Amino acid sequence: MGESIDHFEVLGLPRGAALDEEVLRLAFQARGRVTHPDAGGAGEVFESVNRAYVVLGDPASRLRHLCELEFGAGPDATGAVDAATMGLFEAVGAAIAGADAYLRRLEAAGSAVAKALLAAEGVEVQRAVMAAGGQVRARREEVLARLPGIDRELRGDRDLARQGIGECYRALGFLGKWGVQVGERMVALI
Amino acid sequence: MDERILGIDLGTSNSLVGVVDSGFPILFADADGARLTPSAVFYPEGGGEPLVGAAALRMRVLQPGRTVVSAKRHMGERGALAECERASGPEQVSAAILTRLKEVGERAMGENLDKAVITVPAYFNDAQRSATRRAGEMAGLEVVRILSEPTAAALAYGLDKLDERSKVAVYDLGGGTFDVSVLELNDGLFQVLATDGDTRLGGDDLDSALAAKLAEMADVGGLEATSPELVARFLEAARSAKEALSDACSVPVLLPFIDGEKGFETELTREEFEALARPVIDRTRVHCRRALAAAGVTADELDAVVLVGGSTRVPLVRETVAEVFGQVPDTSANPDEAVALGAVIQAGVMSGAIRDIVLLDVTPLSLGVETFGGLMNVVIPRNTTIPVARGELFTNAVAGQRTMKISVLQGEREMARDNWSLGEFEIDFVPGAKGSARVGVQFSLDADGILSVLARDTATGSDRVLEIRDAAIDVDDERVGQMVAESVEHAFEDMNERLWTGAKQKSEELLPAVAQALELAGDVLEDADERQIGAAVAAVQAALEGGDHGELKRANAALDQATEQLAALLVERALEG
Repeated sequence: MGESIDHFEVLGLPRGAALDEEVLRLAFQARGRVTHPDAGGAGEVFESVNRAYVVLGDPASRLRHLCELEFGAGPDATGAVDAATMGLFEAVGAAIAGADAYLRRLEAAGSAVAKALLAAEGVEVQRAVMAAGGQVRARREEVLARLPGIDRELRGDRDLARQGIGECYRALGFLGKWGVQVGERMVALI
Repeated sequence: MDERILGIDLGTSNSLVGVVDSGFPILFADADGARLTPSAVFYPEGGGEPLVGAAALRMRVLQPGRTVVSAKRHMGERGALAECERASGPEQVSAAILTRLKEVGERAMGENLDKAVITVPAYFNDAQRSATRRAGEMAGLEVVRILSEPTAAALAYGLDKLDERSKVAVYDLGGGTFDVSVLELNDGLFQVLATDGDTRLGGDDLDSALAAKLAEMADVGGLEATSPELVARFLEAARSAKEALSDACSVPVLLPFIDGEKGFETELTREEFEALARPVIDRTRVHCRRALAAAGVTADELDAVVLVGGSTRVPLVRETVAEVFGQVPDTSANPDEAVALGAVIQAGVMSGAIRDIVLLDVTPLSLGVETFGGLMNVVIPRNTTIPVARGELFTNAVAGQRTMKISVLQGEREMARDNWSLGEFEIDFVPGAKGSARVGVQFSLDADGILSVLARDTATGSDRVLEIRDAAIDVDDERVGQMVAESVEHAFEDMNERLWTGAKQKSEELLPAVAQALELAGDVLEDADERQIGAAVAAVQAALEGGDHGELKRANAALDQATEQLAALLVERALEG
């Protein structure tokens, strides 16, 4: 579904791919302060502010929205994913599967001795999940570092900008999903 | 002058009420001068008016079956909590407490007060929040806001720091519930970034663990084997010992006439208590880490960690918090009163008595619908700022389909069945080819975190509020039975069978694990230790033949204890390797 609202405009932010989290949160707080129903604002206005905060807060959905605004259609979701991101898939998948198997056995173990028997495996699993999480975060930072360049291209070679948006959008989609999955395992393991 | 609104902290153990007066939040004392009203209700014989507060608590030891405590733990469920002539479900019990608090407020102010802000644990779901609102209505109160407890505590904390910008975590461990929230405070604006918790974790669990230990020491055959009256006495002794141990290093416990003539007397140390409390308190760690991760904030970015809830007086809780967040927690707030003060402040904001404060809270749980294959499809993710509305489009899966049942869920699990079911609603299709009928459904969470569902017919453009069948009324009897069994007061009938099965399962797991552990690390054990383990194994095997659940449980515990060092050895080896 294409949206006609400009979420950047709703929060009074410049339109672009790169957006600092802190800048976004402060813009949301400034608008939320006057539009929240408790402050006398209308429900629909706060709803649009809230919606803009959610859409712009996630880099992938922000890129999709930017693409719709700039090119009248969302980014191509089915195109190729860059090799550096795809290369992480195996490591992340293995770490998650290993953690799940270990956590199932740990849950089934009801005594201190049974849990202790699993301790060696636990150390290994935790190490693997942490490493996978680190790789996902590092790759995500690399992708995010491309966004200011895309903003420059938007004022120059727009075809290149559109291509860049698509690439980053697809990579961030995968990295976001993996980040959540790895994070959940990490919390369960500590 | 604007109409006054009451601020109420409806707690698991204690409740408070207050109002903003001349611009300042104040809390009321009752006729006895007490600000804390115990959340206890006693239903006298013959169906007379229930007694609320300290008077009800005194009746608990005499008539535990007619006295309800910790009703909040059952909010959103059905079923009576007391053996009495009146309706005594969690909503009715809470309404009795709220009626009392309303009276306390009206007496203090000398005027009728019929609006209130009521706090609930941040982690309460839709059913629990709705039940709290209904309890307020039963007590003659218009509930203008259901407010999350840690958010309320943050309001109280931030009231004198309105011009600052800071990030704080609120660690709220009350009598029966645990919440942790991470907030950003910015010039009067309070934005909750993330919240997490457990609605069944609190000081009550410390009392139960300690009471069970005392019963074991008193040799009355385990807590579950004693009378309800004696359980109540053990729980009371446990609670007062727990409180004393917050300051003292050891405390005498005295229980006269527990078994006819026989009395029980012992000296309990803080170390002994902490050994029992640690597993309970450790359960809060994962929630703290999850809240920080969801907020995108690291522990060292926090300007303060605020402690609220009576259970944060326990020194081990403070140590645990310091460890998790890497900083000494802020204990300047009165742990019993901070939430109530926050409720009063929000009541002042809503009545217009306090200006320039705005709260942006979040929904603690993801909201979604069940899809084909029994999966949960998230519509509104957890930690989304409320109020919020999201649309979903539903279409007919087969030609000519006239209706579709949609099950609404709250929770974080992938499988629909692992989450809370809030109920079902039905949408109507205009019959047509597969995929031709379309109905847009809007899910809204209001500022109270309570759900409403609206269906829009895309053909006519007309909106219709969809009735969700209440999940609380639909809980099956087995689940209700389980809930009742969970409250210690009722857990005595038909327990033997269950206890035996539980103990047997534990033995069946323990024996092979010990054998394997001995094979791996037995070589470094002292002979004496190995002999002790051998004897403990033999005792478990003998108890398995015997059929007495108490004996088997004790034998399991002895084997657990005998193999403690062996387990530690294995963990040590693992960490070295």
